[in-house]
Amino acid sequence: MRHWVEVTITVSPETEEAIVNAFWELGSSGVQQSAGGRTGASDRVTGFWPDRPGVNEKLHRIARLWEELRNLGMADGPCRISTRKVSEDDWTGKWKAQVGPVRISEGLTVAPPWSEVPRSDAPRSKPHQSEPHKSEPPRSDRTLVVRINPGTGFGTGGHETTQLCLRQLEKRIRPGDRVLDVGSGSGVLSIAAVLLGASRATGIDIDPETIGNALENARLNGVADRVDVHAGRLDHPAVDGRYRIVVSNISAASLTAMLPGFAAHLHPGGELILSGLLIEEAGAFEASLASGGFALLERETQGLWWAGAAVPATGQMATGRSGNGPDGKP
Amino acid sequence: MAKKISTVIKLQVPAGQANPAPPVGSALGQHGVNPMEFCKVFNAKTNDQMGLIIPVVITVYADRSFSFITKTPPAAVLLKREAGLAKASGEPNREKVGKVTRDQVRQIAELKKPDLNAADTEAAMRMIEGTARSMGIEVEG
Repeated sequence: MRHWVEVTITVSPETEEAIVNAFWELGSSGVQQSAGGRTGASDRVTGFWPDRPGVNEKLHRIARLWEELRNLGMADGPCRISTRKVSEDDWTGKWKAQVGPVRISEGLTVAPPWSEVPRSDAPRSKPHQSEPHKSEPPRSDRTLVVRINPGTGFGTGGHETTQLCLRQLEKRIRPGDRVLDVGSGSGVLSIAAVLLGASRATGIDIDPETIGNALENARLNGVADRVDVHAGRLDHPAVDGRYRIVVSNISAASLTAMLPGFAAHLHPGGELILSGLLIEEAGAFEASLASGGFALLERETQGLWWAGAAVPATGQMATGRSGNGPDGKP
Repeated sequence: MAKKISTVIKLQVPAGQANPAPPVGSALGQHGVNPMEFCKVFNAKTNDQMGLIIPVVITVYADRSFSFITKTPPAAVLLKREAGLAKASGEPNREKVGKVTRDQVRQIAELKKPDLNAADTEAAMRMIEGTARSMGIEVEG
């Protein structure tokens, strides 16, 4: 559980910019401003620092700045600072309590562990079933439930991009596939891939805070032996060779930058499933896909968001920056 | 019919780099909004301004959906960029750390005008000059 020191200072229109700027320069993780009245000006600004030694020094520097602003005739009276300690517990429970089951398709539901899934949505397979990848992935008789404990990783099933990726996985996973999930977040896509029949999924995420949440979710679904998740980028040693499916739900800029890496880690007959970009970004991104040596198989949109599935274009196999060895490993 | 508003939240967040730490996590989480869902769309919408700080006003509705509008970067950020400064003065009365021209102030005022409560460009410039002064940045010309 992470803890922060929340620092709130009373400001005027004359002092607000300098104090907020000082918050940023002193390493606040962000700034909240009171919503303001008729004039739109804020009368209080709040910054946050991890609860570690050194916060007092920052408070001294802000108080000194205030004194100087007073000497300049811009501030009245003493600097009014209030501090309190806050922890993730103070707010995570409130949004988690709002997370409920999300029906992704006829065959797939994402739900938090405490949530009852309506009877018609009963799991079509028990989480601990043996070797599910050796059987034909069940399709539409009853829904498959992916249990996700909402936490530090993106992907509780509620977001359109998660839903778009899950539907593509449901359509494209074949028994025994190896799957690479780039930007794995909560692990929802890796876990769903395995429950849908993949033999193994490897997730990587640049945010180390997400890894514990993803591993916890893999255990919740009984697939911890087939889902591995690591903090890092495409050059992480766990990203090994080529995959039948590479899925990535991040952002247009990140996806564009990683296209050569995706190509290097995709089987010649493999499929790339991408989302995380806005529909307004899709035109430029589809052009990048084409120039990166991919042919778009399908695009789908939901709300503001775009998702697509692509394959290496015939005869113009895209190559990664690192090149490919004879064993198929980049 | 317009949706019932639950709260309005004003934050400053680095473009393209929102994450669920506070204030994003604390401000949205306590109103029942999954902070990561805001981060996803904010980051996508502001990715092309990476490196700047973006003020954002988020409206949370009673059904826990949200919408937001982004504003122009803070005057302090724009002034530092124009003056070529990494940091403002911690002692703006005693220590002046940089200079900007009145033309630069005018450019910032024009850019910021939609978000400033200023009647005209001259009034907006006076506000930007005040911010410069509070940061130890002198205005020339």
